[in-house]
Amino acid sequence: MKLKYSILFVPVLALALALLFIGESGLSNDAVLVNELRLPKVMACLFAGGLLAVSGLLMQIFFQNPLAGPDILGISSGSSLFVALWMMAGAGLSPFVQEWGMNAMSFFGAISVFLLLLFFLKRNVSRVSLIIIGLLISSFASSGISVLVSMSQALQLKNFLVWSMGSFRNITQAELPRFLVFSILSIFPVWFFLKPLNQFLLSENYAKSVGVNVKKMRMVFVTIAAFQISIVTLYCGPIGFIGIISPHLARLYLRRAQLTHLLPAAFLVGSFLALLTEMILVMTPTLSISVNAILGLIGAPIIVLYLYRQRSLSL
Amino acid sequence: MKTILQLKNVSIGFNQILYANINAELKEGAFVCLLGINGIGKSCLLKTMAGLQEVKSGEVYIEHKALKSMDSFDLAKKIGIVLTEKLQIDYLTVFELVSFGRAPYTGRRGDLSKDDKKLVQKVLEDVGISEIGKKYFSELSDGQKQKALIARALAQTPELLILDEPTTYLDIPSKIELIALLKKLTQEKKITVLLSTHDLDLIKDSADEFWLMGKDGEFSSGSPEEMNSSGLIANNFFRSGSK
Repeated sequence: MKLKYSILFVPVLALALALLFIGESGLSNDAVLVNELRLPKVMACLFAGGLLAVSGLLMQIFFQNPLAGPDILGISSGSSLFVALWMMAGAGLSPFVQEWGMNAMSFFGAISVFLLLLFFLKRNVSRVSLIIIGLLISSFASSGISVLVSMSQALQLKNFLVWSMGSFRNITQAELPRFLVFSILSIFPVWFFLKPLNQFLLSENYAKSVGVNVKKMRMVFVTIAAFQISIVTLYCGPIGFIGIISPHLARLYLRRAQLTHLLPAAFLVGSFLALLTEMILVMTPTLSISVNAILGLIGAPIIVLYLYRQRSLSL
Repeated sequence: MKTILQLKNVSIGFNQILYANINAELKEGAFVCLLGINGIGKSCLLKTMAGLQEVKSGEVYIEHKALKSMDSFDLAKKIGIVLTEKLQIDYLTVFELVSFGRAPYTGRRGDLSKDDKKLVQKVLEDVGISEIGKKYFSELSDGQKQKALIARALAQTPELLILDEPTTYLDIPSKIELIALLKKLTQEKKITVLLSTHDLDLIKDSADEFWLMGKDGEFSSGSPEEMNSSGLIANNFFRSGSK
């Protein structure tokens, strides 16, 4: 087990170090370049990738659905829509209000979608229907965002378009500390609730049968996942696929389902995928590909393969 | 003999009341079989007794304490349950699954103590699956899965084990084996077993008592002989003209 973890650390560390010293301009260790551009980027990959993976894992357990993820159930786009609204509405406000308002709105957007999904869950929709509802929420939010884009001013528009593409390069050196603090704050409570979370692996009823307060845990789950997704969306924009595929890859690699083992592994796989994507972007500076395009090329086939392997199970 | 559980004028249901006025009690070490046609509310009653669902009216007493007022962990130490839900879970070993039953006893992080591990091992032996502890749950046969889930419930060291249609998906030899195993638990460990089933023929010799949720809304209980001779079983399960 320990060996498997150590092996998982190697590519993550190697890619992280490589990305600190290789940029689009080639190999260099210029201090300014490293500190101002590459370090925030590497940290964004490590933590945003990890957070997406952890939130995806939480959602898959919570919804008892192997296809659940921040993007596919519309949580990321809900969060994006609210951030977009705030970008327009909060334009005239003081920078302080603007910044914190953005944080709040991004969280609010994520948790609203969660509550909406919970509402449908209570009405006993099937697992496939829940995914479709998520996709519809997602497309609703995207349409809303395009309307907002068409209404925005030229300067806003540029920021907006860059952000809504999704990128690990949006975080500035000044923003980095806050991003890191938020990230760590959003992971810490997961460790605190590992025991009840593990019980949810079987089912809600089984969790309840050993004394877990299911109602309370449901809200805890949703709040933590919404917090994690909103951080990533706010700082990196909507990022697809990492949240849904990382838990499966981690489980396949470790051959373990217990969260004590699986959570850290999923985090590392998420970081790895983010770093790998960034590495591909660095290697192809002339093509301006987006992060999500690469993740789609990697992620979609993996999901199809997963479904193919699981064909004996009914979704 | 000690009374483990009492139902006093209990009504069960989700939004609407499904079945009303249930009065019954369970004695220590009894092997009780809950009968009733599909959809009458057997699962609902079992879940209500295990605290998974709210009692609509009346009172469930666990060793003379009202279930409503009990702490959820204390309840979990008294009652273990095996549900009909099909679990889809990859890469969880049988040992891990069974150790989940220790949750009411472990600390904040859920780590197993040496004694917990010994107990889990012992439960695996009691149920007869100690050799497959390291196998993944998803690889087991239906009969083995059912045993693993029983072991998980037994790891709670309950006084009452409730099983919702545990024999449904099993082949005949596995059904017989499972019923024998449950009977053994009542005799050797003094655990009370309450299960619902449609396999009347297989269980009638093992059961000490039948509970019947009649389709006329009357709840009745008694020894298999009494219930048979009173004609209640025939009325509920055989169409007029047959048998």
